[in-house]
Amino acid sequence: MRAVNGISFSLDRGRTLGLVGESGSGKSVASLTMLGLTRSPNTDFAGEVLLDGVDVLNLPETALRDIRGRRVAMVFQDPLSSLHPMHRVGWQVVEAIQTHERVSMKAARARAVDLIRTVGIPSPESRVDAYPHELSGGMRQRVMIAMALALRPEILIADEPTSALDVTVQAQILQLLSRLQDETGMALILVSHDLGVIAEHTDEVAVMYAGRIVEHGPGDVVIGRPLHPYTCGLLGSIPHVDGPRTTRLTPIPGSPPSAVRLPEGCAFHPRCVLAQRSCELEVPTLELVEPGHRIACPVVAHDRSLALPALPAS
Amino acid sequence: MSAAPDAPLLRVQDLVKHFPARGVTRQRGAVVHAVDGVSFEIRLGQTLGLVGETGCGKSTVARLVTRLLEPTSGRIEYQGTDITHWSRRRLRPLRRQIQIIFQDPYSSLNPRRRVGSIVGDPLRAHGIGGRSEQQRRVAEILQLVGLDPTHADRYPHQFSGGQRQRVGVARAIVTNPRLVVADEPVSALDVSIQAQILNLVADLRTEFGLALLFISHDVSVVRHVSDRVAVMYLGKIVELAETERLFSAPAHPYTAGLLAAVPLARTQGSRRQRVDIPGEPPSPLAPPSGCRFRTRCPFAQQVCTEVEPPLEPRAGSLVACHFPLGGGREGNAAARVTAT
Repeated sequence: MRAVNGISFSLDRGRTLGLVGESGSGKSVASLTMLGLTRSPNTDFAGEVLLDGVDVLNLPETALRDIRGRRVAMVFQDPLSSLHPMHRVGWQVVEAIQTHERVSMKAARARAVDLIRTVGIPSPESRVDAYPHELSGGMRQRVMIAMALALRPEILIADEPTSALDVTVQAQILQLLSRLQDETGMALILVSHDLGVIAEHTDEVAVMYAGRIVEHGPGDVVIGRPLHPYTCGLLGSIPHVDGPRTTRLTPIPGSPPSAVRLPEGCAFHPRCVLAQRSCELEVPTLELVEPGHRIACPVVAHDRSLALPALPAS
Repeated sequence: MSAAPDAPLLRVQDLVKHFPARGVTRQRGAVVHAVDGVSFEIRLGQTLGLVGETGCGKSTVARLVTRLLEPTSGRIEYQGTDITHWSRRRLRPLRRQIQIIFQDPYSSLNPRRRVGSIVGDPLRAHGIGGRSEQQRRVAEILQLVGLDPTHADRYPHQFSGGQRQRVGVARAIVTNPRLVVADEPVSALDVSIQAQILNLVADLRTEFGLALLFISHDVSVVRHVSDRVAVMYLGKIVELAETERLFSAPAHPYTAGLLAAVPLARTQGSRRQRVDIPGEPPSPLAPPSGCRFRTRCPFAQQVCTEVEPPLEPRAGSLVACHFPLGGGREGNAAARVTAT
């Protein structure tokens, strides 16, 4: 099974890349692989992940372990399963610090309290001794972010960091991430299925379908005037909270393919209204259609007037 | 049951449901105030959206209205008749008229039964038609919800998530119900599939002219499907209004903050700068005194801690707030919350 297939992108310091796609599109596997977390005897992978020019995936495990956490950190979707239920949250932050740095217990604890304050948890001196179950979902996610930030990473990978949270709390967490990014200058890879989250919080967007990037470019271009039929279809599928009220959505027909049995040629062709004979034969590659904007769809790339409307009919 | 000519199909008054608190850390006698005095009505052909965040009691309302849970107090009227305390036996004939669609298309379908028999179940339970008639009806309904009737002998695992939810919809409408309660029917689905199901629900509503109680945490989805929307917070309705009105000029600070918190999948210049509702909802074990939203409300005053605001008519909508927003035109209310 090919969960991820031929993904390439680069990211500068201080910038945010959004990886967007539906379940099974490979966005989580892509982010785990960047940290070498899918390395196992049963897994094959090819390609390189360059961190300041050094290929991370070819490093021995010990060197890689040093990069994880210290230079690249990760926040996962579900804080309850990522935190140890039987340790106090402060201790878990301390552990993250002491794994990578030789600091005294006292200094590490002081830093943990500081971090917990930074991520906006009220009364950090007492909350540091709370167990995960004593905190709400939003507070737990803040603890996860505190742990991820403990070693001032250069890159933070956030995999659906707010998908388990209510929308008012989601807004708080996303604002927190933006603020911390401004303060530390770290790069952020934000993985989400939510086009709204991606549109509002990223500089650059890569849309994934069936393990491949199908459209990639500046956020306002990919969300504002997308060209790939899949991106257009996604945007036409969602109702909006403002603007003219929609009576009818324009869904993408069919459902996403299984990664075990991908369609021949372009994986999207069975669901694509623009599909031609050639789409069934050849796997499309990303083509530059305008500066910084690439799509994996030769049909639209060669005739931009074919691009679908990206709004639900109102 | 003979209905008063203009009675709403469903009327709910002061509905309350308290659960005993469970778990080792909870003290004895503690009570979860899941639903605490909820009133609304729905007419045939209408859709009422019920929106709110985790734990606000919206799913409990779904289960109370369908009489799957026994209310602590309050009144449920169906076609003008009080059915609040009807026995199971007495409710049976009514069940073909009141149906529910669940959130999870995986756990709500029996994996060991064929789809045709799942969809035909309500027909058999209510003794509607003979065997061949039932089969015909099942095929017809499967067709209607966009499934291949020849797949009736397949099992749920042979279908995708979206198709399974179509099965759930088919089961709910096979008896020609008059009231359908849909509890987060699209929340487990990917957006491209969600749109298919939302269009299906819209079609069925027109086709059957039924009354729909549509429950969701997703305000955009609720806006899309509903004629009127009720916003719930911690067991209470804080605002109830026509959809257009609620979204263009929200009157309750919570509604305004909830709408402002939704990230927009479109580009309008740079990122919006927003300050949102701070904190998180308090525990329904011990709701705050007075107004339940006051602990997070930017406009809360002394009176809000002392007096609980009733749900009162105000400029065409119902609002439970001492200091409702507005008078203003579109966006003003949201802007005021944003500015704090």
